[in-house]
Amino acid sequence: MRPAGILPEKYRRSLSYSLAGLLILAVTLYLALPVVALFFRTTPELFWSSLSDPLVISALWLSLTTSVISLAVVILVGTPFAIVHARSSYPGKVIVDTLIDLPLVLPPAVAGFALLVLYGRMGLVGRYFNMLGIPIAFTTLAVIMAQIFVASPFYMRQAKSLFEQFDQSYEYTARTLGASPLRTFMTITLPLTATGLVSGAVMTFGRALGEFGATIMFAGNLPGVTQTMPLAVYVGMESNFNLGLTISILLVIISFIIMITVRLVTRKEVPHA
Amino acid sequence: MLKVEFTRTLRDFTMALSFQVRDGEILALMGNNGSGKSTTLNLIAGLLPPDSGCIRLNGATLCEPAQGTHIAIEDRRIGYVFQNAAVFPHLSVRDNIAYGLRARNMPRLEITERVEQMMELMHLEDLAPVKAGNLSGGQKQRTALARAIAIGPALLMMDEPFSSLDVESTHAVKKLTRDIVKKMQIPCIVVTHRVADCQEIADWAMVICSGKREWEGRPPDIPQDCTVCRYH
Repeated sequence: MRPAGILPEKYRRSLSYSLAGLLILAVTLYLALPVVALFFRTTPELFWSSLSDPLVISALWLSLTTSVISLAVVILVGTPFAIVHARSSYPGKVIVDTLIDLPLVLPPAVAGFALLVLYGRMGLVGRYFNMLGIPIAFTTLAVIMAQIFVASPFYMRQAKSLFEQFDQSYEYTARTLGASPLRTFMTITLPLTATGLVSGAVMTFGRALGEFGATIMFAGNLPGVTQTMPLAVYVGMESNFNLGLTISILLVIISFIIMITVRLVTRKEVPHA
Repeated sequence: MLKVEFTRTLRDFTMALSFQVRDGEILALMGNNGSGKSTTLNLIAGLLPPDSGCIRLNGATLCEPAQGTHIAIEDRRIGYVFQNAAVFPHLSVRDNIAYGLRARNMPRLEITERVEQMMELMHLEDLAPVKAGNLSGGQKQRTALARAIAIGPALLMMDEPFSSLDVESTHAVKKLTRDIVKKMQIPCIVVTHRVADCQEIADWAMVICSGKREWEGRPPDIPQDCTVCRYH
């Protein structure tokens, strides 16, 4: 074939169009095919019937409740933390910054192992809790702690940068107009950062829902107690293929809803001054 | 009457200023970037504490570190218009103007009435339902001024109110500001670094440099060798 440079303009353009199309198609197929394959391996009847399996129901329920609790903790602790962190300088701030992001690159299995070393029955801190009759590892609490550890960076990073960039003259103006700090936060700061905070929260929820590595290391795999949906998929693959398939499809659907929510929320950006 | 006397240590220099602004008088606070103009306004508004000194408005002490007095920002009744106007972009023009009245728990009927008055005064009637984030620079500045005036402030402060406005809007905002200050008979401080703005709007001018007074007098008399004149 002749080099593109000496092809007539008409052919050159159609060639670059088809190359671009091919590239987009290749990427789309690579990402979509595995997901589509899930739906092709089952039938609607099989899907609906295994939905009512106790294993599926308990995994779904456990996953949803723990993820909601994890998210609530991350929001309630992470929001005030992000404000204080973003607006003050203190010694060691760089280290704290790095620590916030660490779980993003730390392998989840390592995170789970580390949590076990600290809070396990013989762990540095865990032994004292154990003496008080409060076991942490291999309980539902451990599931939540693992999720918070692994999923919090998605919200924290977002909140931190939102509050760093937030123009404080809005808040100052509200204060001079007579608003208390709480009123200022509720009517000015929160509405102006809500879009970003919600998208961070949704990503955190999604990550918590999909948590596998840290959970299996630190919380184990007890049906109804610590067996979340990703863990049930793993078990299902070995014992009951259809159950694994059903839970996988559920997780795909939830992931899609999450991504669509993020898209919709971030599109409704408020006009900025 | 506003009486200000304070010191405050900043990163590069220590500010030490004392001045007063009479009722119905507009003081132009001038100086180059980083000379301490905005800091002065923030100290008066209570956003920053002074190291020492005393700030008194109409006989009441707003702040006096030696006595441990520091009136909360929201209780100072100061109309403060920030440099970028800081209109709340997610609220309509009407809700922006009503913000301070609601925060002060004014009865709803009175709020509606006051907001209508303000919109008429500032020629904002047609923009009442528009989200403030979508306004032009001049409209934002007028909304911010209306919002500051609505609370019936005892002092009006404006930080570089004309810096992002075109000629026409600048003229309109200047006239509105002068009219309001004269009518309400409250002291007013306008921060600016442009001599022309100062001469058009102010009754008295003070030039500061590195937090200290460099010159003070009538606006037409600003000397040519002043820091603010040197580069213009």
